Order: sequence, then structure tokens, then C-alpha cells
Amino acid sequence: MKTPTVNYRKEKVADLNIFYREAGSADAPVVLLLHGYPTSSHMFRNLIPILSEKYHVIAPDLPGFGFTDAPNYKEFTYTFDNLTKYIQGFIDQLGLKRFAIYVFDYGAPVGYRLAVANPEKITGIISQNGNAYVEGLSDGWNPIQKYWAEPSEENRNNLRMMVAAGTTQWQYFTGVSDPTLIAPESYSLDQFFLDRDENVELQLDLFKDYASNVALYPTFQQYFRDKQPPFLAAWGNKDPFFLPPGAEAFKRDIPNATVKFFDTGHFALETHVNEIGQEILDFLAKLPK
Amino acid sequence: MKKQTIYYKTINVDGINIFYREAGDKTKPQIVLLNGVPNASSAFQELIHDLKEDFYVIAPDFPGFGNSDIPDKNAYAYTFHNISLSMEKFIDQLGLIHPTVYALGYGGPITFRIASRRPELFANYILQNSNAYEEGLGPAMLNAAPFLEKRHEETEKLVKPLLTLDGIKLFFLNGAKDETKINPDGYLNSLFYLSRPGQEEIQLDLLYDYRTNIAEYPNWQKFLKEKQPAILLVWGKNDVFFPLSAAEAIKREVPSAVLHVYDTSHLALEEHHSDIAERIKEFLLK
Repeated sequence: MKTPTVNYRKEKVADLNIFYREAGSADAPVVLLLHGYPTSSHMFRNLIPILSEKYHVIAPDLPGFGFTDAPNYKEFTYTFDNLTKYIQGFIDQLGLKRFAIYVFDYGAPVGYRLAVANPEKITGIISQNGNAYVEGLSDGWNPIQKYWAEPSEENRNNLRMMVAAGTTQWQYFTGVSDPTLIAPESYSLDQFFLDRDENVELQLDLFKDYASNVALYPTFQQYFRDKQPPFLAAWGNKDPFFLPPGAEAFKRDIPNATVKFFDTGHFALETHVNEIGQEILDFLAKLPK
Repeated sequence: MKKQTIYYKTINVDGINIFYREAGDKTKPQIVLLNGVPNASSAFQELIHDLKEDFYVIAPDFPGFGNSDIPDKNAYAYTFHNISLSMEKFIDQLGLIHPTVYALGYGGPITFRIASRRPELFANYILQNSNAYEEGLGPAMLNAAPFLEKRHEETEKLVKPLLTLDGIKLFFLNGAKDETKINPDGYLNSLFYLSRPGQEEIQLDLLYDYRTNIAEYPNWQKFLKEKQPAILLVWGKNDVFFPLSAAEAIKREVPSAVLHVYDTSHLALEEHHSDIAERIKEFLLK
């Protein structure tokens, strides 16, 4: 079987070059893939060929991540509101009118903000460990929550271990029953980006601003209740950050939501891309155009 | 639906953990994929996806490369001879029986050294931008010639840039047709691995040892002439290391060799893995 072509492009949005992967026919329904911490659209490298036979797949890197520009934290406001502003600009410039979104980790608060602001554009939502409920937050958030409560230099410094190579690898292997499924280029490329000059500082800024996402959870939930978007939660059930109750909770606000668990960790696509890909294809096939 | 499963494993070969990618069904025809600088087995990631339904595919990282162990250079001299011994044992330990070998770049000298010792080991040869002829040395190799002749501080300056991002891009982008088809993950991951402490010394040791390959070229030519093995040549013609003249020389020696030329760089798989996979299927399955 021939592998579909993936193109690696850049779109200038305001002052930043936004890198994105694009595959599939321009006439096909659009699926927008939003990555999480500390990775980039690299995390979708194996999902894109599965989806692009039937869909027009677009996967940008958020500002500060991957191949998108990462201005110094002193010169750029690293908040989820601001990341969303750039992705909104990206969507507008590419002229995306209607699309499904796949949100993971940091991609979720960005994607849910976009959905709240553009409900008419959203055909459906796929949340892979993309949290919107307090009961989804694990104890792994405690040191970050401490920094929210008291944004001191000491509490900021305590979070530096979270961006170290050992922690990045730990995130990939925790909850994974077959470690031979984890491609080393996943965590090595992530670490390459994290180890760039002062990238760590912008990551700490975003850890701090994650509080703004939790504050918006009620807004996201209200949107779910009001708009009842077609919804698939595909969740690694051993994610050390986002717990299964966070996935179950979607059904409270969207009774028709489909919630599927996969026996894996945070980066569920690294181990279960075939299974999750099939779920997504089944879900997308039922969406309105 | 296209399945994506590739396994990432290690096996201990003489005290060195050799990392390898494994995909496909063991009962299918076997292909072992060999590459060195700048991106080791990750060069084959997309090709493995293309081939894994029809073949059993194995792609190791050489000692010192990628995710394999990096033995101390005092315990393990980084020479093509030593790496060829490690790879020969690796192939035996995995129990591969007469696999086809796909040799890219440094994979070429490793393959020719193994084949010279055990001419029956490889059933078929797929050669891509790797070399056995002086006329196949491209401008980037000729630029390194003073270093290969005599290694010292001054001549090292000629080759050290190969380990920087600009140098790595020579392999990926120089001569490539459409940059939007080249996945930037590849060259940044290469930089990540080649920037690790101790890598510069190891890579310079091995590159300096390339002179022993040039000395071996006549023996490999004799091997090709006498054995007339089944060969598929797939070539990025704008390669600055081993350009099309390297492929043409092999084709002259082995007239039955099938040559497919691509208008691209050294790492021809970046732009053309799908087509190269189809040529491999034609070569091995028809």
C-alpha cells in the first residue's frame, strides 16, 4: 500500500511562523489535530496516514512547541488564551469553515476555547486524554497546583524536574504494558525542543497558566450541554495526569458521547494508533458534513 | 486500514545492546536495513511502514549510533571492520536466514565487508547511495579527502561541520526537490543524537576509517564481478556524497542490476519511500 504524502508547511500568523503537517484531499472534510505537552504535531505522525485516506488532516504546532516559532518567554505571553489566539488566526487564514477537532492534553484547553468561540465550525470533537473536568486531574498536578496557589520562585523551580529528560521518558512509558511499542524518536525529539535555549521558562509559564484552563472547565461544560457536539473520548486509562473519571464525565454533559478506554498511558497514540484510528474513522463517518 | 505497528527492541551482541526496529511477519521474506550517518535506523521508518505487510523487516542501529549502546572507544574501536563484525553477529543472533540487505550510505561498506566474508549470507542486495568505486565519491567526500589522507586538527575542520545542523541538512535537503515533503523531525532528531557528549570523537574516528573502505573497493568490485549478485539500485541522483556515478559503476560491473533514479538528495527515502517500496516489491516478489 502506498503511504499518502504528508506536506510540512508554515503559515505566518501575525508575527509567528506556525508549522503544520497537512495530508489528504483538499476537498475532503477537515480534521484539525491539536497536540499536547511536551510534544508537537510529531505525535500525529502515525495517525495522519490512517485518517488522510478519507480526510483533509491539518496538524499545527502550538507557539513555543515543535517547529513553530518559540519566541523567548520574556517577549511573548505564554498563556492558553494567547496560544488559542494564534491557532484561531491559523484557522482563519487557512479558511477552515467546518472541521472536527482532535484534542490531546494542552490541545484540549486550546481546542475547547476554539469550540466555545466558533461553535458553528465544529462538526465533532475527539478528546484523547484532553481533560475538562476537575475529577480528571490526578495527584500528579499537586506540585503545579502549589505553584498556582503561591507563584513563588521556589515553587517555579520545583517544577523544573518536570521538563527533564528522565521525566519526559517517564511520561511515555508510564502505564504502557509493552515498552517495545514506544519509538525513541518521540521522547528524544521532545527533549531536543525542551532543551533549546530557555524553552523551559516558557513551559513553566504555561504550567502556571494551566490554572486558567481549570477556571474555564465550567464554561467548556456549559458549551457541551448547550451545543451537544458529537463527541468521542478515546482515553489511555493509565495516564498519570488525566484520570478515567475525566473521560466518564463527558457523558454527564453530552449523554450521546462515546467513551472508549485503551490500556495504555498518556501518549496513547504511541501504542494504540491502529485501534484509536479505527474508532476515529467510525466516529468521523457519522458526522454531518 | 493501514496498520502502523513497529516494535523497538534491543538485543545484546558481545556485551553491546543493539537497538533495532522490527516489523512484519517472520515467515515473510526478510529484509535487513543498514544505515549510519546521520540518522541510523530512523532513516527507514517510513519505508518500514510501506514494507511491513509483505516482508519481515529489521533495522538496527550500529554501535555508537541512535539508540544502540555507545561503547567506550578504548574498548571498541569505531571502525567499519568492527561494526561489520557486530552487524554480522546481530544478523545471526536474530536468526535471519538469507535476508535481503538494503544498504544506505555507511551501510554499503558494512554490507560489502560481511558479504566478502560470507558471500552466501545475503540473498539479494538493494543498494541506495552507497559506494564501492572511486568514481562514485561525490564532492562532499572529495572535500573530506585531506582528512582521510591525514587526520589532524586542520583537516578535522573540513569534516566537523558535517555533524552540525547545516551538515545534517546536506544529507536531507541538498538536491531534494520539494522541501515541504521532507519531515523536519528527521534532521532535528539526527542533530539530537549527534550532539550527545562523545559523539564528535566517535563519528570522526569512523569517518577517518572510511579510508579503509576506499582501500577495499577493488576487492568489492572483484566480488561483484565474480558473483554477479541480484542487485536493485535505487538512487538519489543529487547526492553530494555518493552521486549517480556510484550507481552507474555498479551497473557496469553487474549488468543485470536494475537501476531506478530519483531526482533527490542522499536520503532518497525522505521524498520517495513509497515508490522505492514499490520497486522493492517488484524486485523481490515478482
